[in-house]
Amino acid sequence: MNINKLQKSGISGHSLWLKLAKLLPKLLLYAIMLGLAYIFLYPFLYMVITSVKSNADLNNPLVMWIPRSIHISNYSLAATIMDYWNNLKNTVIVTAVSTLGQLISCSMAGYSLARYKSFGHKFAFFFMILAMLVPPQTIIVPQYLLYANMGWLNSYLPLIIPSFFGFGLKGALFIYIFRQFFLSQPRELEEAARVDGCGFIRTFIYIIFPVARSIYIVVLVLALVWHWSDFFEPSMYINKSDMAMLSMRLQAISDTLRLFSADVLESNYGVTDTNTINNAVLMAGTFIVVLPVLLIYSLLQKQFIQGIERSGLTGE
Amino acid sequence: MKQIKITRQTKDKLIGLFYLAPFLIGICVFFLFPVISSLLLSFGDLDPSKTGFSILLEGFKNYKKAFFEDVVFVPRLLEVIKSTLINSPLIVIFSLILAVMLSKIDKGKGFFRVAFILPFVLGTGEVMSQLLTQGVDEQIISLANSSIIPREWLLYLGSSIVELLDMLFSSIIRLLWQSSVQIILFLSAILGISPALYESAKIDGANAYEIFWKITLPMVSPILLLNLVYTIIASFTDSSNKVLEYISEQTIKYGMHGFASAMGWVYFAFVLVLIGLVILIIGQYVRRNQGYGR
Repeated sequence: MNINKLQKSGISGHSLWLKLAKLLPKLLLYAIMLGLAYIFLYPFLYMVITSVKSNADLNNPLVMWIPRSIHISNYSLAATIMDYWNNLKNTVIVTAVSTLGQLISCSMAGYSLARYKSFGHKFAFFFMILAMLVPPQTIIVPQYLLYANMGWLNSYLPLIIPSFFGFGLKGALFIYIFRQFFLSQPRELEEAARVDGCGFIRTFIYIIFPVARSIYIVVLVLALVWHWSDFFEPSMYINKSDMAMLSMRLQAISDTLRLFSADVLESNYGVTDTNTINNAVLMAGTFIVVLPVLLIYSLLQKQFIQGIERSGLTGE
Repeated sequence: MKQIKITRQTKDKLIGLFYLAPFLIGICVFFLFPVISSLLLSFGDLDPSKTGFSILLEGFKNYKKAFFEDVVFVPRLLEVIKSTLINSPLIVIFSLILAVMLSKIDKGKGFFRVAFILPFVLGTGEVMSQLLTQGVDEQIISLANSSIIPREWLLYLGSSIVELLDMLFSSIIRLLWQSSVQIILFLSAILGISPALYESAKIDGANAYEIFWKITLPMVSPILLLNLVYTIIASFTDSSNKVLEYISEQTIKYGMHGFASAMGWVYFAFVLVLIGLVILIIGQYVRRNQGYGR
């Protein structure tokens, strides 16, 4: 579509050949980018197409991109099995709160590590690297016992509280991202604020935060996606089904579909059409799980560009 | 004069401490205990005669078992390290090239930025593994092959070359799918470079090649280091990683907590050495460009 537009603008000009020659590198760039975009979009397209396929279409190798009939019922079945709305609420709460916690605590720590040689600077840097690299599987047993002693099992506290202290899911990595970003930024703005008598908390809120908006958005997206789709930690600490997260349900859905016989499905979920229980349902389930994150990202995407353009990063 | 300088330094240290305080508290409350006890656990096992958490120390037994008795651990460890060493630099190079191209696009940039992040959003969940088991990468490879080079031409080259090309395409596509985050990080860094720099370079007569090596690359070098570290960590802590699979299988299925911790720490030591080398070598380059610790 973009190429068409470019071509039209080229043809309507006076010196057609000159314009075309100028456009050629641009056209080539767009062609390459569209080809690459196809590769990146492929898994998503495959998921969406598969999610509406009927059983017959799934098993037919000739039906690749255009299903012969559209089965929306895959979605309602997936939603029923996952207890979608209730678990969506749980996931939204945990994801939102822990992401907010990580944005605050990790940006503060990253800023301090980049700008100040404070007390505990080396200690914190060492433990940041350590926390980044220790595989969660290595420390999960003592961690579980720690939270059990605190009485935090079967609550969202083990997922939320550490986020406010620079931990939680990949918290140390976020600190490192913020640190690297602040290292790449000039200090002039802060020094100017200091000379003008701006206190350090106000400097952070009014000078640092706007400048760093793009990196905040990047970390926000990363944290949202990881918290949203994490199931290792939630499945350790939560075993009540009404408190479950969507990611845990998604993991369970393929097992459910494989293990449950037709009559179990009928009595538990009122599902009679066993033909629809297949990969299409799994893909439908996956789609409704990732959909909120996709929507949020496409909204933030605009903010992301505007954030960069407004923040003064692009210079005068 | 000297006294004023000292007080300002101390003040700076206190301000830094203020920002760092939540993380320092977090280390002490949430991190020190699990790390230390897991380290102790690797030198023994949970005491079966007592309830709760008490460790029976047994020396290097678990480590000996990991290296000399267990037939699964060492080959898997070597495999993971090898693939990480090959793939990580490739992912970072691909994503830098893509980000540079992406930064030159103005029409439809929203579309491209959403498209390029999609594998990340899908990849961390169940989707990508499902897709890979269903052979999606093979489908796209055959499509890519036949549209770039017609199949008939390939047949003249012989089946071994076709296989090689297929393998190359398949690994490139898998690597591209892993480079979403790196592309976005590079893009944000490239867009953050002041246009004034580019303009003055153009006035001085620099060409696109020189501008890339003399301006873009040095200016994004902190993000380059970040991306390398991120890529290595992502590959080492990926839940489909063979070593981690084995470790959690030993803990959760068989209750071999001591043995699993020992393997975890051996694994960690390798990762630490690798990341340390990367930070030392690339970090030197970054510091030269950024005037670290000014």
